[in-house]
Amino acid sequence: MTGRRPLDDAELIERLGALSGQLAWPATPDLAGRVTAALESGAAARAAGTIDRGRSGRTGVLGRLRELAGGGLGGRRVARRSLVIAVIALLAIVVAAAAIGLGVPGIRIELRPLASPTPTATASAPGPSSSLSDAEPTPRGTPPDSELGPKVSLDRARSGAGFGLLLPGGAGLGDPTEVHLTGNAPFTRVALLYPDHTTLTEFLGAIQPDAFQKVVGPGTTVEPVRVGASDGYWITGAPHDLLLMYLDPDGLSRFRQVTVTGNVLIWEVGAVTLRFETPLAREAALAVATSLR
Amino acid sequence: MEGRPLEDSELIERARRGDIGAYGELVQRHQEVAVRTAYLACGDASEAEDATQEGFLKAHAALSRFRADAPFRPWLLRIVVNEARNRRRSAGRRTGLALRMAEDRPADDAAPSPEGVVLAAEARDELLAALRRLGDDDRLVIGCRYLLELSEAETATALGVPPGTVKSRLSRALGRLRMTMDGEVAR
Repeated sequence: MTGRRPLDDAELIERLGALSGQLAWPATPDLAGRVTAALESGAAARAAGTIDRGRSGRTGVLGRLRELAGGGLGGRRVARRSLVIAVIALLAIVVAAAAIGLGVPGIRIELRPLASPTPTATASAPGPSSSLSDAEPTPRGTPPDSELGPKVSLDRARSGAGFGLLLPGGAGLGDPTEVHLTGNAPFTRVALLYPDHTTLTEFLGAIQPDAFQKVVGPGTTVEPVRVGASDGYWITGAPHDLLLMYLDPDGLSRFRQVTVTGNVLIWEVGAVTLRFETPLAREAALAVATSLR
Repeated sequence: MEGRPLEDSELIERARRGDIGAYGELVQRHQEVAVRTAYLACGDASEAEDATQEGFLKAHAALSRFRADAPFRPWLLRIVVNEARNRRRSAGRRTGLALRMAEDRPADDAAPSPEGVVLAAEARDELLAALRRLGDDDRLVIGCRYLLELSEAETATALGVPPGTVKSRLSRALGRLRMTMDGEVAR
């Protein structure tokens, strides 16, 4: 077989087309029936906390909580109210369990030892030093510019985000020192960098599931909070790992793990999920968060 | 007036107004390509099924933000690909080994079609082996474009990359596929 002429692109493409019809593609189930059934029963099921989104039901109670946080077209307000009650009730369970997820759309929080990083996470590359914590070395949670996307003007970020960009009001943080925009709408993410290693990240969480994944150890506190009219989480304490999804220059999704030693507030405003990484204390961070306009 | 099938855009408009049946029609129309795309992205049939179902639900939740003049299918596939990739990542799994031949494929070895579109067994196995050995990203872009026959624009949207990037990435992926096949042959 050696010495055979390599196939040119056209020949390869022709063979690929022929191969397509011979592959063992998965059978197509009746998703239309399942999806419409889920939508028809969605509002009532969400309110009752009994939503069944999966074929196998493997999402479980906490998976349902994540779905409640994700919300839907109907019953969203009811679902959020249910979420607060359910989260408070389940936090005690979470403390005792391993690798359990709660979440705001686009953010998954898992509690498990930091020594067991997500298998696909790449090694973290420490960034500039930070003073986010007095007790720990301070690798910077904010990824390098290449992962945040290109630096842009605030006006460009506003026009390119594909959603209404929210900025802190009042004199709290001042103007961002850098603005970064990555992705194409509606899969965009905007990062606003402020002095003192403070970063506000915004994106449409419902359609970018798990854009961030937090892995927090037992020394970390995850506290449900109210941010204005929204539910959120205040994460503080021991260092927590952040698995960050970003787009490389070719537009491919990549994942990088960084360790964050500061405080993080996550919440949503309408369809926008926000992550606020800050050395501020909880009340001050909440004040900034509620000032967003 | 209901005799003709409704366009996607008409079904989307109805779905936005709360017509779940209209959305069900959209699901019916696109579920096969969506499941196959998810399968390419995550490499597991049951995960692909779950990812596709979840993708349809997320797309429904995001319909209000869908641009009315944009094609629905690639936008949907982007959501499905994201969902499938996340599931693959959570499972810490590569995708390629899942690709295999159908058991009940046509009796092509004995009687190639007149059009020559059915691959001979040796060529087919060689190509499949090379596809399995490709990296996930190369296999996904090749799979979307040539196995699922999405257009370049659809592939770009589904994978979340600019159209120009699809061209360059396809070119590189085909090159690596060719090199991999040469490697297979030289073994």
